[in-house]
Amino acid sequence: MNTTDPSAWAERLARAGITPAPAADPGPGTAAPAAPWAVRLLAGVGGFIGGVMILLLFAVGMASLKFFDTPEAATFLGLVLAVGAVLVYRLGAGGVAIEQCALAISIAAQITLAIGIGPLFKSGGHLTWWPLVAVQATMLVLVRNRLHRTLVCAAMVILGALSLRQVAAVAVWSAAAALAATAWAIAAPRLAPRGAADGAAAPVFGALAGLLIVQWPWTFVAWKANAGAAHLAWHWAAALPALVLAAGWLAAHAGVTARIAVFALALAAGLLGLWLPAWTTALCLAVLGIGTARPGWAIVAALAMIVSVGFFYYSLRVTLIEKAVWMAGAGAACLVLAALVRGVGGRLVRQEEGS
Amino acid sequence: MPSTPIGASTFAARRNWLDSLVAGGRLPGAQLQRARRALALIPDGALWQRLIATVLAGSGIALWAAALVFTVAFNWDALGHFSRFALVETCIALCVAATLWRGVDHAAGEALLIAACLGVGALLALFGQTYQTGADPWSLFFVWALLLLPWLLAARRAAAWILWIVVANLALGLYCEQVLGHARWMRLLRHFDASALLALALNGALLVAFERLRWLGGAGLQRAVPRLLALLTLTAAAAVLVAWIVTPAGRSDGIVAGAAGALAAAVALAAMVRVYLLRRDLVILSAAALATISVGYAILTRMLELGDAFGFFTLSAGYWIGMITGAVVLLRGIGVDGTAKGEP
Repeated sequence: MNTTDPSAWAERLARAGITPAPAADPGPGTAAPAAPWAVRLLAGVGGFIGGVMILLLFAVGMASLKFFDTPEAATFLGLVLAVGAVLVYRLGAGGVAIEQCALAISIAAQITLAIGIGPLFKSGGHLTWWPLVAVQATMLVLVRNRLHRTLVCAAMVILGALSLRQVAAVAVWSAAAALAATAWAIAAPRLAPRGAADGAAAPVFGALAGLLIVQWPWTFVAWKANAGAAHLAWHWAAALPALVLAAGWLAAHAGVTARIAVFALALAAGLLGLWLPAWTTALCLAVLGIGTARPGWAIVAALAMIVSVGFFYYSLRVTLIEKAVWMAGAGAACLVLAALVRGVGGRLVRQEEGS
Repeated sequence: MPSTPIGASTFAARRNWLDSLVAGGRLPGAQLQRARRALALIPDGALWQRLIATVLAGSGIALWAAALVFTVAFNWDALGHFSRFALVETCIALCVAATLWRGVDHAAGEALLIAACLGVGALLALFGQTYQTGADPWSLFFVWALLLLPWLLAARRAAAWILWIVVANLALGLYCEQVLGHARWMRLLRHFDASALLALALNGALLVAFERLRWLGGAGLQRAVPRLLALLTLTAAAAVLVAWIVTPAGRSDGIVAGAAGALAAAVALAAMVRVYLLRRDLVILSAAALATISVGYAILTRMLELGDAFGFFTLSAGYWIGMITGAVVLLRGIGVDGTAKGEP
């Protein structure tokens, strides 16, 4: 399956009984070839800059009318821009330059809304950002663009976590945010089944890894800091469902149905998840990113690992030598798991192939 | 299903094609998972097993390496000067030995070579810290780049060259900031950014070397080094021209030097467009188009009256949309394969 001919792919789908026999036109893959990526990038940059210039033109007009003077006006303007962004996206779907122009309008809409909503809901405290999250969620559903979905999703997760942080204890908000993020990652493909679901899932997993890094970099540090079994148990109880849900997503949407993958994920979630949850989440992301050829996911995973070690280094409650021993132990656990996956996993794969 | 490694580019092409089928309503969403399996977009058990085992092993080694760094950091004050040097040099020697053992053609060997290159930088930093050789980081980066050259000429790996280009440009940037910024003759060059002109000279010379001596780049990332150098050269040329254009009028000193620098940048830009037009390298041509349009915009802003903001932004929006549209149409006419002439 290394051919680059879409008609061969269409034929393969037809042979498997998934689609009817391919007609003369086997699908959009054989339509006029798309412009090379560099030209599309140039068109995208131009569209974005053009969008910014149009917005500046718009802003000059609004400034002369003193339209930004009140939070209500800014909120109204933000909503108008959001509607405009959705319309431009939907009318110009497929055009790289127009989509980037719409992205510039969407970013301006969200910033303008934030400027308006901030003073409007100041007394509400934690409720401040929920109206913006609601607008973003609406845009997420209406705009079927991968880059837009990625950015909006990331912004929603961050705003949601910030809002939760104001009302709940750290363990509660981070656990709730992690669970909500994972639930979203699972639900996203069902909410947006017509492609572009990856755009939603990637930042959610990234944010999940980030939340785990902030809250549970290393259980050793948490234990030293609080020295309370109940506190630690609460962290574990909150972390485990997120990891199990992440494994569920892998099984449901990345097709990790082979017994070896389930076995390895169970090992990682069960053992390493308790020991170093942030690192384990990043490992899952790395495996998925490499296995399904999504380099962005692997990069997020690598960054998560680096940041996790950095956080650990600067946790001053524990001496460096204690941390070194803990890490060496974690490294040994990883190597033992690797050996288990090679040995026991190999047998499982052979059994699977035999059956 | 065979458990052969999956080519990332065809993998992504198949995935995007399948996504476009679903988006176009030609494939029901419920069938997507089956279709992914049929097109080998989902790795089989053996491939997952190898991948997971490799990632876990890599994670274990990374954690051990981090533990080693933590241990050294814990004992750093207790170590003498020679122990510190011995430690860093041992790490470099081990990396080099492992590179020789694996061979630079192997991914691990290439990664170890880069680790050894980074280790040389760490050694120089340690030297500077230990003997207080002065606050001249530009010389550190310069010596670092110089010391790496023999290894890079012997190994000829694209990834290592990219690291070297970054180090060399950092050395140049720091030199401009720390030395040239105080030099008397710099007054002659204040009509344009002298740093950008030097960066243009450095990266342009390297670009010519890599394009003429193809063996220099060796194996690895296809055309990554010449393209990186071309992008750096284009950026520097555009920076020189933009700086010259936006310099306030009425200055009498350094006009000749400024004009000469701008002329050199314009010639470099035109030469690159000519060369890469013949090669149909759309990546570099797209970057050249963006650079040229940026220079044109600098001329436009110089000519326009900034007091009339409404007119200025109207013209700006029209300029960018029009110029980019024209560039895209022209580039699409040149070729649609996106590969350079002679590129595999």
